[in-house]
Amino acid sequence: MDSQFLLGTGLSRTFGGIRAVAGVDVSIAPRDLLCVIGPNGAGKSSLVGLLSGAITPGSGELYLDGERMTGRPMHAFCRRGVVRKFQGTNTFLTMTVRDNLMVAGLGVAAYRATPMPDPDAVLEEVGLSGQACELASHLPHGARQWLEIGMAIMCQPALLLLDEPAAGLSAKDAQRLVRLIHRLRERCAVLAIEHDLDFVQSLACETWVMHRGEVVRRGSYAEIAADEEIRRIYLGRGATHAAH
Amino acid sequence: MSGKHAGCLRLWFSQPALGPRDVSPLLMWIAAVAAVVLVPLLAGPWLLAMVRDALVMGILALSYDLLWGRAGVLTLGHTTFLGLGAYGFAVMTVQFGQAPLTGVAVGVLCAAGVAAVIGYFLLFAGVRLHFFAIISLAVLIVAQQLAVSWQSVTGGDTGILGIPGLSFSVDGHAFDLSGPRTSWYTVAAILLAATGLIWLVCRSHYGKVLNAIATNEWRAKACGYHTPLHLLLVFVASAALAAVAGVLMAACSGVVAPDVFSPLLATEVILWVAIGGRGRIGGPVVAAVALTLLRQAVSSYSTDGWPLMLGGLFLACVLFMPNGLRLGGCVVVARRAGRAIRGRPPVQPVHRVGHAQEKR
Repeated sequence: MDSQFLLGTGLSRTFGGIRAVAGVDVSIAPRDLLCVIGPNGAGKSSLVGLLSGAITPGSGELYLDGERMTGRPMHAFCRRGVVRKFQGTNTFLTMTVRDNLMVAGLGVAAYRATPMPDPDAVLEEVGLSGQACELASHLPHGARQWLEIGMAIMCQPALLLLDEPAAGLSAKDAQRLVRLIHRLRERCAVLAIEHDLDFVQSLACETWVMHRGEVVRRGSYAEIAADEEIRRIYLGRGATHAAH
Repeated sequence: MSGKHAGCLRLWFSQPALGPRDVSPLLMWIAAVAAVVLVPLLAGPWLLAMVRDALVMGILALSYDLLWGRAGVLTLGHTTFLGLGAYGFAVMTVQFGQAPLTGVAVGVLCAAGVAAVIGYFLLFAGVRLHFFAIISLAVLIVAQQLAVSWQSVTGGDTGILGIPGLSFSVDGHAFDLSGPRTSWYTVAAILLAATGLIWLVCRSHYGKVLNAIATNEWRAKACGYHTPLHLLLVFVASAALAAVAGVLMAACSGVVAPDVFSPLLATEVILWVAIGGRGRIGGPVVAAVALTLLRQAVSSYSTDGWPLMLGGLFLACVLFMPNGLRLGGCVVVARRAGRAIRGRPPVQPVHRVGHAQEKR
């Protein structure tokens, strides 16, 4: 188990009587790539919140590189390499794109072995070179998604948590993102939450299915896709519509 | 590890190369230096003392601009620290007969200490925005009550009279900074130095970090910043600078009374920064100096007129120029007013839509 970067046992959290995350065991190795899917309200974002330190677990333990991190603040998680992209987007709106990246990189620069990445190179990587001096509030939603991914890269993650990274991206951009994630994976572990099953399929990685706060299946995407039970969870009992 | 942290600090405070955007602040600063040198040659002692007292208020505005304008911490009781500085200096020099330099140290440390304790308990507990503002107002009132009732030390309602001016001696050479000219140069030099220093800090990457924390603290936390600590540092630095203003006020005027803790002055500080433009460093200082001089001019005609005028000015500023008074803004407002008077529909400015708030 020493090879695991992140280890969580029995992670639970309730919000006003609702069990958002109910006893989830997580272990993520340094170069893992995995995807978490599940219907709305299954507890996916809460799980990312727990793993990134934004939410303190009600019960359960969390370790990073063998160090106990249960109940530690979010900035401590980031300094140890757990970097998060928020659902929707969350950037410094009053600042320029380049300043967003600079600020993202400076916070953890003292805690990394390698020097801070060059903001211009990261801008190139996420395709925002042309908008470097634009205010973040002037960017359309899709570009802000890229900006946040760029900010995450600036933090030199060891584990990158992506909460719905493809939301609002065109099919072409989503494929570009898939390629970027595969490139990032050479440097760090990636956990992505996604609703868009085409996106998950093209990531072709280990997939977890969450339902009512629990991880009900773990397996390759092909196995998950073939599972009748999963279909039933996703579509509901008296399936009238698909949940995306 | 420590060497690495030092390297990181150097990166945080490293200055970007001079660009076209730095020209106007630098020119303004040089013009201010020239004005500081020239004014004593032209003005009489009475006018000089009046402008000097206004410059002290400029230091106060500068400290508040750092706190509210840059780090986004709104307080309604910033004069707490002005008063602590003034009282610390006065009590030490008059009641305990210490040297002025000891008084300065006690005044500034006292304010910084109070700010550190209050800031630690509030900022680390996640108290922000109007909650923080209201508690700071309560602290101001506590300080005011203390100044009134602790008569043996603070002199009660009368306050403390006969405070000595600043003076110190190095190697037997005595420097007396209490004369009309020397006190002018002291105050002006401190104001210019503090303005320059804060400008440099805000220009470095650290200014961007503070900006980021003010804009979206949650996101800054997710980038690895211990945001309460940064806010606390700014709060203490701002309180210390406000205390310096308090010390200078006490030393220049020779008296300190409980009305330094007045909520009216605390509100005026907010107005100076709002009118001068939040986070623009020079703007609030100029606004503070100009409005203090204006207040003195108005008060000689009517004592009630000033709060009314100030309120009107503030309303106009919030309605028409929410980012503070500036030349370009004035032109736009005048044009719009002209159109409205002539009865033509105002031309709507084209905004690119940005969502004001985003979900966490």
